[in-house]
Amino acid sequence: MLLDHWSRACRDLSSQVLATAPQRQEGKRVDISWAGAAAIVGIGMTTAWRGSGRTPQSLAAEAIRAALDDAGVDGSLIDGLHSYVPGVSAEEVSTAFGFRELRHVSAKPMGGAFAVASLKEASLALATGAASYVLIYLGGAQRANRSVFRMHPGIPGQQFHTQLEHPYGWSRPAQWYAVMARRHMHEYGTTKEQLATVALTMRRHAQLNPGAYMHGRELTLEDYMAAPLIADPYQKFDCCLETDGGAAVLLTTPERAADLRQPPVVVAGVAEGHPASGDDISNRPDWFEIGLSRAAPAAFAMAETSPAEMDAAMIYDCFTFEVIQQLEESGFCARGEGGPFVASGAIDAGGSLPVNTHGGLLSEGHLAGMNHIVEAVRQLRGQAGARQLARAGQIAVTGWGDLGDGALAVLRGPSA
Amino acid sequence: MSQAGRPLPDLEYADFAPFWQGTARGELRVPACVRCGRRQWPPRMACPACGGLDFAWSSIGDRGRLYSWTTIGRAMLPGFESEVPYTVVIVAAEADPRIRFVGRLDPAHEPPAHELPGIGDPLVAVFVPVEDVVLVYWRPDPGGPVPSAQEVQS
Repeated sequence: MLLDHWSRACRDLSSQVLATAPQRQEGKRVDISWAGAAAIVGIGMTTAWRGSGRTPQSLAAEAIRAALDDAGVDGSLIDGLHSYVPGVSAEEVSTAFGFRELRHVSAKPMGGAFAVASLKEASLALATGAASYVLIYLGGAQRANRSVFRMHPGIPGQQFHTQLEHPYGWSRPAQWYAVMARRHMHEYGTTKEQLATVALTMRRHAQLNPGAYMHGRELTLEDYMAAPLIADPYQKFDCCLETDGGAAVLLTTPERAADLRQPPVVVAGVAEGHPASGDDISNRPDWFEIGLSRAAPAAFAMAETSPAEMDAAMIYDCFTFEVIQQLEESGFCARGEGGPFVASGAIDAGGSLPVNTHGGLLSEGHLAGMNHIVEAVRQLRGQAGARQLARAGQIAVTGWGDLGDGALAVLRGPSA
Repeated sequence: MSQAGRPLPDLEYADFAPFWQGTARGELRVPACVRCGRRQWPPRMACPACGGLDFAWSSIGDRGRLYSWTTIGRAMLPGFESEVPYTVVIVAAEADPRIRFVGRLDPAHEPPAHELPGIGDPLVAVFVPVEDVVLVYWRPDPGGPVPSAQEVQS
């Protein structure tokens, strides 16, 4: 009996390996593309709270359960998990849900770029057969347990920060990115009013999203300008929310997706990139050459499309200026023109490139960009309710994290 | 200086010890690759220009230019509660503008008593003892060279 079991297991394994081994012809390696290898088939997200009193585990579990139910996929099929670090571990999730087939785990150490970069990991796993059903998930209780997040244990180059920067009182993302914003204002004439446009647009979008933390709380320019100073040019409303919440996205191959409950959203192209000094901002030769500067052209080329073809963009809006910077580096406008671009109204829900129709990190909630993927999927499926865009065939989603790591995905829905 | 609990550098951390030994003598020192001569900051495990592993430390002078800044309104580290608002500066060394230091604008030169220096303005290092370490603050350098518009942009 035991031998039978072993020989069967070995046969299964070898056929799997044979089916997915890199193809070699006459000594030449054939690259396996991950373009279009993954389809998002399930999404799950809690609403964003403050002081929920819940643990990250409980929030992640609610989102994972919702994503599985949304897709109509049984948990026993899940064999890939992509986690946010530091956070709820793949071990905790797989044990709690009984994912006994788990054979592919990864955690991209890219801060807020983790979510989009994990779409690449999932695509790679599905393209090669390393996994068949992959969950990307996050559970965070920033307000309930802020000390866990205060020192950013995942940030690279800790010794530079604690030894050479903390003694001068420079220790947090708002303060780091503030000097980049100030330099951009100097070099390109970007204005405080243009930063305000980003904050006010995100808040306006949240008014159409009942799940947004800032739903029902409007923001005027006067409120914005009168808010407390955090780190010039950033005042309170230039900074993203800190909220509790959970989110999960389930992916499988487009072939399997065809038999599932929801219209599939294909990851048509996705890439990650890293700045010249991913461990330090101050000595980076070019402050505006970030990971996204490299990721964006790669992702658009992979999807055989261009920024101009996007019906909307979900931009990782940790701070107002970073929306302007990422619009530039994604190629939606030239470097230096992001300020006038947002001031023109282009990023409004009714503009030429609606940005963050859910309200983003600034006004929906801080789910580390998982909420940007979820919103893109809702729009592409036609399930965005009062904020549904008239045209939603292709949407770009960006991630920004650590000190400038970046990722971009082109998501394509059934109406593309 | 009596900001209790304020984070200070570990003077025994080997990679940065020569820097703090330098500030104690009123000198800004940075490592340069022994093989190719390229200066680098912050000090890293290898030379990004040639991959060399050996470095020699030398003074880079006490002059620089303001590259960027932020005035911090909310303290996020212990010991800074009574300091806000204060201004953090990024300063490009005059002797090698590729080298940029994170520092603090000398409180004696902060608003409202003084206007903030502009990006590109010349600054000079001020060596400030705090407990057993000497930190580096920066103040406007009225005797410094006036930058050309091109230099400010670079």
